[in-house]
Amino acid sequence: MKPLSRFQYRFKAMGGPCSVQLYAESENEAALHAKCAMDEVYRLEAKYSRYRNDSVISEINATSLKGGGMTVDDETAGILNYAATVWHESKGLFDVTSGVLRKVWDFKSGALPSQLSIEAILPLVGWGKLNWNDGLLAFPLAGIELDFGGIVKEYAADRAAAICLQLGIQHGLVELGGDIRVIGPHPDGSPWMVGIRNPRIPEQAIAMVPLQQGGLASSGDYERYMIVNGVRYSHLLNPSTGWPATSLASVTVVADQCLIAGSATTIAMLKGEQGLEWLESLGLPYLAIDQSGVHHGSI
Amino acid sequence: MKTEKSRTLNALTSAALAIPAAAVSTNAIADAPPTMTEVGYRYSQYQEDDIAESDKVEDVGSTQRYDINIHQFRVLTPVGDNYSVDATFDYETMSGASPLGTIQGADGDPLLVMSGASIDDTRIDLNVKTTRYYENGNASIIGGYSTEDDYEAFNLGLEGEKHINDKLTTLMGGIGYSDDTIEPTPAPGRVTEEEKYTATTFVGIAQVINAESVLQTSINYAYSDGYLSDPYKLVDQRPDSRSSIAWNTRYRHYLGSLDAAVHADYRLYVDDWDMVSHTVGIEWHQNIDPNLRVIPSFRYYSQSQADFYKPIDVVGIEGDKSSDYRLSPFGAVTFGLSAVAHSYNWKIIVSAERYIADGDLALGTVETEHPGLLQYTLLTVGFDYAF
Repeated sequence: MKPLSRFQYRFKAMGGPCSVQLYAESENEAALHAKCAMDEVYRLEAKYSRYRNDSVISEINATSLKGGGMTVDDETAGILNYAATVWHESKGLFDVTSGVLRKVWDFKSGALPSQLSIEAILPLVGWGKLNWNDGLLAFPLAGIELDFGGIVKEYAADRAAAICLQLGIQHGLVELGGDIRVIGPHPDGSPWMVGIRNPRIPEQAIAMVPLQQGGLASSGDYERYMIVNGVRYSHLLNPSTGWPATSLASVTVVADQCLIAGSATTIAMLKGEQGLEWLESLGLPYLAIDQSGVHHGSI
Repeated sequence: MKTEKSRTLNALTSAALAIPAAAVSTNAIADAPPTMTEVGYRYSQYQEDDIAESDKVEDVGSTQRYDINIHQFRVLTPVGDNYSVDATFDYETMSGASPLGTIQGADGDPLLVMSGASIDDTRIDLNVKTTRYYENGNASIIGGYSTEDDYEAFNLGLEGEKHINDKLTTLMGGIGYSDDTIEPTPAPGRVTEEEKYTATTFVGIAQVINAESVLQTSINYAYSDGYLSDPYKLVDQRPDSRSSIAWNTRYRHYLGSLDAAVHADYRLYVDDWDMVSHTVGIEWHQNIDPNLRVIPSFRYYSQSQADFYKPIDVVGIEGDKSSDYRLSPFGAVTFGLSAVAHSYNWKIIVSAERYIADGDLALGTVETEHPGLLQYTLLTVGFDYAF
């Protein structure tokens, strides 16, 4: 038996840079355990990727195109239950059917979509327009698409960390494109220091957050956006209007699970003017930065 | 308001926790075989410094000592759920000259009688270790075969580890046996075929002291019987048995603030040839980047002489005698530097080591330094790949 050393493994998944850091007795052990964590991320990526024809999400969306219904596996059912809960709790703001708006919002083009094109696609947005009951998913309205963006990456961070814990790793951190789940603190008990992006200079950290356990997620208007006539339009689209939320520049939330933290940041961003109030009442530690650069929150 | 939103948090948490993840094997909680097959290759170049012309008998033999090229191949693979096989294959080619003995020089100090530079040899070594993993330990059976032009050896071993105390303590032990046959190149007065047998046993304990440090200590006992002399030396007669005890202690400490680990080792060796040696080693494992580690190392060694060691060969006296530099009193230092770059399934290693032996480096005073003490350089490059 040897002492614990820190190892880091970087990889690409879920559309971004990822890493697993862990303390292990040997490089061999670290590599094997990191691989198990990475395999879990790859598994979820393959299962829920929109870009793969053989993914569960593609199967769901194919069914939707044809109209009709289908049964899903237990894990997918769990995620759909979560999607239903987060939709309900956000009063319809966090909606896994809103991904279809991407078809009219091309942030690389630098051009705003026409109100007509948004209105044309809005009928396909709305969790309430499909039926989800007892493992049976039905699409009375053909063409609704599901997109687990905002759920699967965060869930994968939780899962990868859980697998490391199951394998006996007590100290480590999983990061999937900025979404973080701690396996456990450093061996001396000290917390991981996580840098929070400056929403206006995203390559710079504006704050360091000590994270002993749990998850951390950030959402901001800097991730994907375009500026048209001096107005910033971010990728965080309100499913009822089809237009980007405007209010906070970024939100970071710490929660027991990365999944919860991720949902909370998305909802807070989409809440617009009520975002801060909603975060305050949620009771989780957060850091919100508004458009004028003022920091709010308990972190 | 607050209670309503805390209800939101409860609702999200319940829904998140209710997602049933696909079952994942937790095999690795127990002592488990590797989950991937690992292949590795190392190329090493071992080069001994030349003998100074003034340290040898003029015009006899070569000043050039051994150069050895070593190719090492390794495969480690899981077999079934509970076994692994770890096989290494070494292929070495060596060339150079070695000291045949010593005579007294004009100043009274020994001079080396060197062989010609014609020694060329090839060594092949195969070792296979099969390990069975249990809930809280493992047991291995080891078999090995090694051959050179004039040498052949078989070895067998059994060893095991048992984790107790919540895996914070590991007990280990093993036994081994080897049978070596030497058939030296024929020469008048040289033995034609001789054998030796060696039995070894060890017990040890490793204790995790805290999350940053581990201490391991072990006692090794070895007994050899048979022909223990060097048939190529002009004058060399050693006892036909040797018992030795070695006590090894290793300490590993991780320094989180520096992202580095210190490895400190001590070894005490004593045998019934009256030899005592001390080895102190220290390695500093520095993570430069989580994927890159640099390891400077330093080792100090000192040994006393064997009781029958004679710096200068004397022909015609009765009893055991040898002028082998390896039985002489000396000290040595080794400086090393290695770098390891790794990802989850590959590793690249580059290392360099410089060894210098000298009478003045010994712990005690060395009256007559052996002129054949070694200096060598060892360079290694290699990789491991897992799939």
